[in-house]
Amino acid sequence: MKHLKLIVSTGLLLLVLGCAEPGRNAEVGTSDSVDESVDVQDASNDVRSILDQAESAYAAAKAKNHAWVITGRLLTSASEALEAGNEAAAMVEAKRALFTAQASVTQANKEETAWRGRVPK
Amino acid sequence: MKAGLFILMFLGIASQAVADPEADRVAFEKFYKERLPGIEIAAHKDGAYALDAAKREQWLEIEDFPPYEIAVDEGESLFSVAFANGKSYTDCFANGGMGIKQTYPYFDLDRGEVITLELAINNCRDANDEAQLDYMGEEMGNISAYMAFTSRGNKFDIKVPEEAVEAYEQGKRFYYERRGQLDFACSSCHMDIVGGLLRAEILSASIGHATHWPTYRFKWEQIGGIQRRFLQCNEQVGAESLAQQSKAYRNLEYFLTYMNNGMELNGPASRR
Amino acid sequence: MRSVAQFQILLLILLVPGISTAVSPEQRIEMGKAIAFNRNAGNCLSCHVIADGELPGMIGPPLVQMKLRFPDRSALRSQIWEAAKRNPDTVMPPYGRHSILTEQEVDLVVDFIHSL
Ligand code: HEC
Ligand code: HEC
Repeated sequence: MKHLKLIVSTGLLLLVLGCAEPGRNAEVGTSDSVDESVDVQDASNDVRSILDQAESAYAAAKAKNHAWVITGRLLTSASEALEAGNEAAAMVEAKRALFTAQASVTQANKEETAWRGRVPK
Repeated sequence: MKAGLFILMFLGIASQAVADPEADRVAFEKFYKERLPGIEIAAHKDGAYALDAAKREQWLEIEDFPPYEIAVDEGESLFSVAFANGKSYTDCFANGGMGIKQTYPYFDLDRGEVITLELAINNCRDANDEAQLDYMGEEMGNISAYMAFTSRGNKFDIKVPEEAVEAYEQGKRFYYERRGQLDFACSSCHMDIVGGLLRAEILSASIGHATHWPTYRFKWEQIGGIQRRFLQCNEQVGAESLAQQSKAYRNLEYFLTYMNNGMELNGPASRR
Repeated sequence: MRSVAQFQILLLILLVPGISTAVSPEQRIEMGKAIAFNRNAGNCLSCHVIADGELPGMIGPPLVQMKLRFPDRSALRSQIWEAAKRNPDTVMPPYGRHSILTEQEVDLVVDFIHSL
């Protein structure tokens, strides 16, 4: 398992540093790619700001009983990665958390009215 | 734009004003009659086992030696034990708690909220200075199993007074809203594709969903209430589940049970 | 979760420049199949009969002769990305729109389904 984790995190690091793969969600991929010379503190602040946005979208979905399981998991793993000093992995997870949190809010808003169409007459 | 909004608001108010649980229930019943014409409405109290002869056969064999029998027996002894103050459950319920499950959940006008049987059991303990029972625990399962057992054969008689319409509507909305990463409503599975085969599972009708709780599930290796099933049905579509006996789940149970009005209670039961 | 991580490793190998050219169309189809059949990823067998798949559900149509059904590959991709585009009342999950699969995973699944 440890071994697997190592491969995954190395993989995620490569993803962010190396190739044009924006992670799980192209939609939220920011254009400013992280280059190796970037200050560690800056990178960590970037992750924090995305995490903050994700947390607040997640809270909004939760308040409407519309939160997704995946978002909670991603928020935890992103925070853990950040704590462990692995900014690159944290960034990938944080972006996925933000994407899913926003999609759950979109779903909640749409369902405010959409459900009525499903009630049999 | 403004005019559009106005019309939307008007429609909103109009549909609010015509909220009519009984009309909903009649349409609900009609839906299943038309969708599954070969099956009597009353038969849905057995859930998926009403829809597949082979699975029903296996299930009937299990019911010959019901796995919930111990729960009912233990529930009976727990029920009669006196609290520290000398009172007991019998003092909290109509008819000493016997044969009353067909009226649960009900809307408590004083508290202004839906009261399920499990919540009433804990409220009773609270009023008598006893500790709360865990909603997923064995003891709650046993006591409610005994109370359900004494209610077998009775028919659901849920009322929605005017004050309760909002709670009912909340529950109804929860049932029809898509949720989770997989984007399913309760109605997606239990209406749109009812009777269909999801992997190896046959999807049961929601008419009949409330009749047989608590239920011994082999998967749980334990007896559990309907809200434990809500939890799983939420999580399997990637939605976060809510707390047992949260307001939203109680309202959902209220709506769902109202949709089962007139059906016979047959709890406790067993399920895979 | 574990199997999802394994897919990511697969994808990584696929996407690292230089290695990706080594992945043949047949390999992509195999990878797409693994994703489609995996219960924690595509889980398409819950609802569709697919050749080789065990214990299929029968909620959607059997996935056969897909090139005939979908001469246009992008229409097939759209069905998997967001089935509600074609049928707003669908019960098929929005694999792309809700990020149930990554873009790359969707593309591999499309390759596999189109080969049926
Ligand atoms: C993805 C499909 C799916 C969705 C969505 C879903 N369920 Fe279920 N549900 C199932 C399956 C599968 C079973 C087990 C087989 C059966 O009895 O239908 C089940 C069983 C149940 C049962 C127990 C039936 C019995 O006879 O004991 C209840 C009650 C129930 N669901 C309620 C709900 C409610 C309420 C919702 C919405 C919060 C919901 N379900 C959403 C698939 C689903
Ligand atoms: C919960 C059930 C469900 C799951 C899971 C599901 N589908 Fe579907 N699928 C359907 C239904 C229902 C249809 C019928 C059209 C519609 O409603 O969108 C469909 C239609 C399709 C079609 C169009 C078939 C045709 O001949 O028109 C394709 C292709 C397809 N699904 C592929 C997939 C793939 C690939 C997966 C897994 C990644 C998948 N489906 C998972 C329910 C499902």
